[in-house]
Amino acid sequence: MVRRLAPMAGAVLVALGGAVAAGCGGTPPCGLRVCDARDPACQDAIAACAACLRQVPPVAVPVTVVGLEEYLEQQSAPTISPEAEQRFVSWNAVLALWGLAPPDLTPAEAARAQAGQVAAFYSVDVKSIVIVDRGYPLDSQGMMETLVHEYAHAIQDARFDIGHLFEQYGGDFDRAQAVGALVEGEATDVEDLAAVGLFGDQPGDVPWDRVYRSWQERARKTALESSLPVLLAPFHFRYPFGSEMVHDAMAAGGWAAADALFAIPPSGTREVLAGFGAPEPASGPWTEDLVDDAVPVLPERFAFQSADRMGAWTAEMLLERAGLPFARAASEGLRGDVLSVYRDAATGGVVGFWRFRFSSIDLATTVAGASGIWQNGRAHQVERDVTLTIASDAGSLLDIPENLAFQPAPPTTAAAFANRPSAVGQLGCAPPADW
Amino acid sequence: MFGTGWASAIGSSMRRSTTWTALTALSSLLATRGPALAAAPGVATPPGVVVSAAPARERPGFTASFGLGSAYGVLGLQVRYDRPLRPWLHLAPFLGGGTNTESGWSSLVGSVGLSAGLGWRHRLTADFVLAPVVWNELNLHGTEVDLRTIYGPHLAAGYEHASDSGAFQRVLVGYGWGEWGKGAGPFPSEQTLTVGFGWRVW
Repeated sequence: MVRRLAPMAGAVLVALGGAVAAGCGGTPPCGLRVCDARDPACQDAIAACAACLRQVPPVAVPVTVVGLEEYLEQQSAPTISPEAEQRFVSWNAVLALWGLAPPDLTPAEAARAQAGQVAAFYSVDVKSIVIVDRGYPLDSQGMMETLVHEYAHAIQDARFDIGHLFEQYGGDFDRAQAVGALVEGEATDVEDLAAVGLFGDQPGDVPWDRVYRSWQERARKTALESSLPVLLAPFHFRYPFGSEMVHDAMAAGGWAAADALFAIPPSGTREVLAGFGAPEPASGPWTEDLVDDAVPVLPERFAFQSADRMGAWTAEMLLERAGLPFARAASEGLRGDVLSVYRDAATGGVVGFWRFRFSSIDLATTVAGASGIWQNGRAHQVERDVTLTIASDAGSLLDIPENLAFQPAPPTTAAAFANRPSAVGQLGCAPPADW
Repeated sequence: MFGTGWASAIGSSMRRSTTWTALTALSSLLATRGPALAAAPGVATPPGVVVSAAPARERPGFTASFGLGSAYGVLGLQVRYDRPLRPWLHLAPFLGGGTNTESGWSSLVGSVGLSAGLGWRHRLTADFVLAPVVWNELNLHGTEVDLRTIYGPHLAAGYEHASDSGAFQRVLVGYGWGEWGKGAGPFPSEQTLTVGFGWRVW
C-alpha cells in the first residue's frame, strides 16, 4: 500500500508544483522584473522593457537619484529677470481675482509647488532620468513602473524630438496642455502595461473605461479643490485625459495610431477632452485663434504684461469654481480665448481681460449672464464672443470702456509660467497612488 | 504516568540535554495544575480512591476554533488535531479558512500549519503556518482593478490557556513573509496578530 501511495503522492506533488509555477508565477511583461533602480543593469533592463512594451528599439539614458529636499531647493530657486518676475506677479494677481490662484504666490513658491508633484522626470535638455527620492523603495514595483514611464519619454524624445514638438505645436498654454496630454498619455499607457503585466494580468482584463472615468472625475475634483488650478493644470489634466486619448488610439489602430497623433497632435484641451476619434463639431473647428481680436486697445496708463490662450480646461475650472452649472457645456463649446493682463499705472493695480469665442451665440449669452459673480468684474458680449473684465481696483474698471476695441497680441507675450518642457525642460511624473 | 510536581519533572530530565531540561522546567513553572492522578496499568485501585481520567486537554482529539489572524484567513475557523506528546508538550496540525476585509468579504482563503504548546493549563505556544500574508492590489490611478492573495510562511509565538474540557483561548504575535502569489515579487512581509477561541469537538 505504501509502495502504491508513494508514486501517487509524488505525482500529486509534481502536479501541485506545476500548478504553483504556472498559476502563481505569472509572466512579467517583456522580461520586466523588480530590481534596484540604482543598478545600471536594472536600468538597462527597464529601458529594454519600455521599448519592448512600446514595440520600438530601446533608448539608453542615464538615471540618477536626487533627494527630495535637494530637488525642491533646486526648483524653488529659479533665475528669472525682474521683468519676468513683475509679469508673473501681475499674471498671478489677475488669476487670483478670478479665484484661480492665491494672491501672494511668488515665483519660487510656484516652482516649489510644481516640483512637489514630481516623483521622477525625464530631462529633455540633459537627456537623462532623475528619480526624486521620496523614501519610496527604489527596488519596488511602483518604482519599476515609474522608470518605465520615464524611459517611454526617452523613447518619445528620440523618435519625435519632444522639445521640437512643443515648440512646433505647443505655442500657448492650451496647445502645450494638449501636446503634454499626448506625451504624458502615451508614457502613462506604457507604464500601465508594465503595471498590469507585473501584477500578472492581461491588459484585456482591465476595465479601462471605469479606470479613466474614475480618474478623470477625481482629477476634476482635485483641480476644483486646488488653490493652484492653473499652475498645476499639467498634473491635473495631462495624465488622465491624455492616457485615455492615446489608449483609445491604440485600441483603434495599435501603436501606429499613437504615432499618428505625434505627427499631428491635438489642437487644444477641447479636442483632448472630446476624446480620440471625436469628430470635429459641425459648427466649426476645434480651435480658433482670435488673431485681430486678442487683446483690448486701452489707454496708455494700462501697461501690457502678458497674454496667453488658456483653453477649454482652464475655462471649465474658472466657471466650475464660480459654481456655474453650465461650466462643462461652456468649455465643450469654447473655440478660442485669450487672457491678457495689464498693470494700471494710476492705481498700481492689475486688470485682466479674458475674451472667449464660443461655438454658438446662446452659449456666449449664458456665460455673459453670469458675469456678476466676480467682484469688480463685468462681461461684454459681441455675438459669439464674451469678454470678461476684472480689476483689482474699482477705479480701473470705471476708466475702461465697456465696448472695447481689440487688436492682435504683442509678439512674444505668452506667459512663461505654463510649465512647458521648453520652459522647464522636464517631463515630470506624479507619484503613484500608493507612495 | 508521570509523577506530579516540578521536582519530578526535573528529576526525569537529568540525563537529557540542557535545553530539554530548561524547557521542562519552564513548562512546570507554567503549570498551575499538574496532571491528574490515574492508576498505573495493572495496579489495583484501592477502595475509596477516586480515579479521574486525564483532562481533555491532555488527550488527543480534534478542536474547532474561531478567531482573527492569518491562521484563520484573517477572520475564520480552524480545525486542529491536538496530539499531546507529554501532558505538557503538545503538537497540533491544523487547517483553517476564512475571509477578510481586503477581499471585501467576498473570497475564502485557507491556511495550514502546525502548533506547538508547552505547559499544562497555561501554555507557551508557537505556530508555523502557511497562510495569506498580504493582499496585492492592482490599483490603476486610484481604481482598484484586481486583488491577489499572497501566501507565505508565518512564525508566531504567544500564550494559550487550555481548560480541562479542552476549550482554549490563545493570542500570538508573529511575522509573515509574503512569498507566493501571481505577479512579480518581491512581496511585502507583515507583522501578525492571532487571537483564537476553541473547544474540543471530539
